[in-house]
Amino acid sequence: MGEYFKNIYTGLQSFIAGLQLSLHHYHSRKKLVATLQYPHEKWPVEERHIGFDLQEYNVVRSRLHVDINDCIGCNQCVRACPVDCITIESVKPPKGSEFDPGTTSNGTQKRMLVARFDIDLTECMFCNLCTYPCPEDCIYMVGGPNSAKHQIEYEYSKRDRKDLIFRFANPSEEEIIAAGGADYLAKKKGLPPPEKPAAEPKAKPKTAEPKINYEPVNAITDRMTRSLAKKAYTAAVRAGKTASETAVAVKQALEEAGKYSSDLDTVMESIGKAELMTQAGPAPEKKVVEQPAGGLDIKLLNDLTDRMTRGIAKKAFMAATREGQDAKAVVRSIQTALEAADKFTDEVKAVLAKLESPGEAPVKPAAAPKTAAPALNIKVLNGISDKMTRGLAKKTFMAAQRAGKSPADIVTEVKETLEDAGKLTPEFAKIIDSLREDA
Amino acid sequence: MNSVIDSMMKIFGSLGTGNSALGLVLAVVIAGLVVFTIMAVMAIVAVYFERKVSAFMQDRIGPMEVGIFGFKGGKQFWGGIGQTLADTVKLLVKEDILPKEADKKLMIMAPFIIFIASFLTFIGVPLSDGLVVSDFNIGVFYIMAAGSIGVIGIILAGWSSNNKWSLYGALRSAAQIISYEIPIGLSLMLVVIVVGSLNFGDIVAWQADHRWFFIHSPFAFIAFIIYVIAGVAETNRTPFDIPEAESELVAGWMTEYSGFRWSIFFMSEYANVLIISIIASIIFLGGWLSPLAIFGVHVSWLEGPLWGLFWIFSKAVFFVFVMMWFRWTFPRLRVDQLMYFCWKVLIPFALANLIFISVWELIF
Repeated sequence: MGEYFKNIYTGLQSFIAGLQLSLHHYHSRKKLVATLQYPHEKWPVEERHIGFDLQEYNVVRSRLHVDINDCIGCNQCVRACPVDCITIESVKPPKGSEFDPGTTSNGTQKRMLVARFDIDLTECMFCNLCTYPCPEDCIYMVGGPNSAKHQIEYEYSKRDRKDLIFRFANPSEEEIIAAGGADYLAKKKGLPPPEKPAAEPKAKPKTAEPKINYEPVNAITDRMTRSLAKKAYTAAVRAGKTASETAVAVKQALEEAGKYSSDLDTVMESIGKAELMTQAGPAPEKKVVEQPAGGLDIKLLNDLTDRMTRGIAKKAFMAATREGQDAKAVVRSIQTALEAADKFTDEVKAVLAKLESPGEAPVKPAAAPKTAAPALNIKVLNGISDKMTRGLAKKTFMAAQRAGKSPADIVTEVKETLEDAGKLTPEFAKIIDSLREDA
Repeated sequence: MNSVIDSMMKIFGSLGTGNSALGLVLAVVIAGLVVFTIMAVMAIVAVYFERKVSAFMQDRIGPMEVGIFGFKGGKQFWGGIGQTLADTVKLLVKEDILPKEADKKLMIMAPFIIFIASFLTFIGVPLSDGLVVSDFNIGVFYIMAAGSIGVIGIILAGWSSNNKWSLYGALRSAAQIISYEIPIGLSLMLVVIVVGSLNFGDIVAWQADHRWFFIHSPFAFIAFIIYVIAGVAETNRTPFDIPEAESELVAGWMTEYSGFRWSIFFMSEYANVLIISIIASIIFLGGWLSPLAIFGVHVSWLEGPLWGLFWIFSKAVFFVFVMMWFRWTFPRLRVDQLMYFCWKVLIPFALANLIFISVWELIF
């Protein structure tokens, strides 16, 4: 009986003790609660003690970081990345632009503005390969030996997967436009490229790069054949072959592909006779961008009301002018493109007619190359075997040509420079003389 | 004393409908809806309350993330007030599974029997002076009787599930509830002996005239403790939760239930907790009387039906907290300990109490 009451007494005692304990925890929750509300609060990262100095450790692969101010936009890391998780887009300021992209911390002058530098860390596999080729050491894994540059970051979890694409470059729109990236900006936003204000003349005319004359090849109607022919033609012209040799090379290429037919004989003949290179002559007062190749004005196409039609026409126009086609060829290619898209209406016809013979008639298509100095083919200089000499000769050639000197002057200048450098041998002199003969 | 049904009938009568049968049906439906709402709200609030209390007692912070319309409650400790609402929605849209080998009719019926038991109990429980659905002369007896129906539902649920855990749980539950009805009945009988009435209104009126029962006499205080302990056992809560016993029986008699039916079990459990708490506060803590009345201070504006509702719920919430406090403090009793505690400790003490209180009443 005594034990019975004793048991009840101890039971009551432990009952009260237990209740007191839990009530104590309930009341002092502010002190005792151990929960860390994870996404809202985080534990501080403890200093690690792994038995040796972190600085000696090769690399701690926690996260890639880019010091964007040091990035020169060389794309080396993009090439090194095995999973293609790095995307770089850069805007190169046009020649003569006042824009200064700045210098890196190593003192390297930057040549362009890095408009976009994204690293998709959902794809990154932490191989560290991108950090080695970087000439400015601006991409690196944070922490470890780089902890002086950036603190270690073990956890960078995000609510949205998209937030794991780290955007390091973040230039303002004004900066991009100042660096001449208005086209880039428009493209990024999905808008048509902005029209350049006419009042702003180009600081310098485009250099007189010799252009390949594609007119004879464009006469080929079949698309496949034409592209094949163009390829062979370009290769031949680049190799410095003469017109008749080129014609043979093109014919050969087409025969190999089984595309040659007797219809193409006339084309080959015209290639044989054609002037392979047209010189987009340096006419200093000419606005090269607004008056490309045949002197056509793309703005005339803005008269087209239908948006789709206008887009197709402009695309064809740009493609054709880029290839250096003359006015007629351009108009023809626009027409073909529109006909293919079933958009060729009377309205388009009128606009194209206007395009072909504009009222103001700015420059006659053929006039431009003729008035310029006869083209000198820089490729002739490739015959110079010594690398140093060839480089010097080409440099001088370009400088002289840009200065608008006559072919004779150019040749003498090149010769003089080489003589000064003590590099002029009779063999090289012959080659340089052949510059003029070739033209 | 007036009951809610009586008052509503009077109002409908004065509106001149003339049809007393229609008025009765309308009054019953309205009262039923109110009781159901109280039960549902109680379940939702109590689950949140319980999760928070348990978390604080275990140095955690409980639900913190879910809010209602962007409002989460407190930042540091009382956040996540929308959690149980979200859980309720989840429960109601969950798939309702009936096992292939189950006795389907009984299995569907069981949760409703348990629900009806706690629903019926609510009818006799006054929430304030005159605020009772139906005022019985034998209110205490009625509540004991109606509350006992629930065990039938538990046994049906355990049997019909065709699952050994469910059956074990149901058997344990039946043994436990039937056992613990005895100390509850004996401790309530002490009050009935003193007051001489089974009506809740009379019991509260007696306390207003004399003093509250838990300070009435040492024996009444012991009866109060016995009632609270046995009440916890009646609701199958820890430390008396051997019918559920997660670590032994999965979920006891609720093992095979899911979704809506399971939520009915849950709602009934918390309704029972509320009923036990309200009865404790009516019988031992003066019901709808203001606590100032203990010290003989009567402030007239602190009395009246609405204040009565406030006081009774304050006391009930205190008891609900005490039951949670028990739950998160004590470990579960073994089956033999449970029976020992009931038959060898609570019942002898309750019986002795009855004798002593009778002597006490003769002397004083």
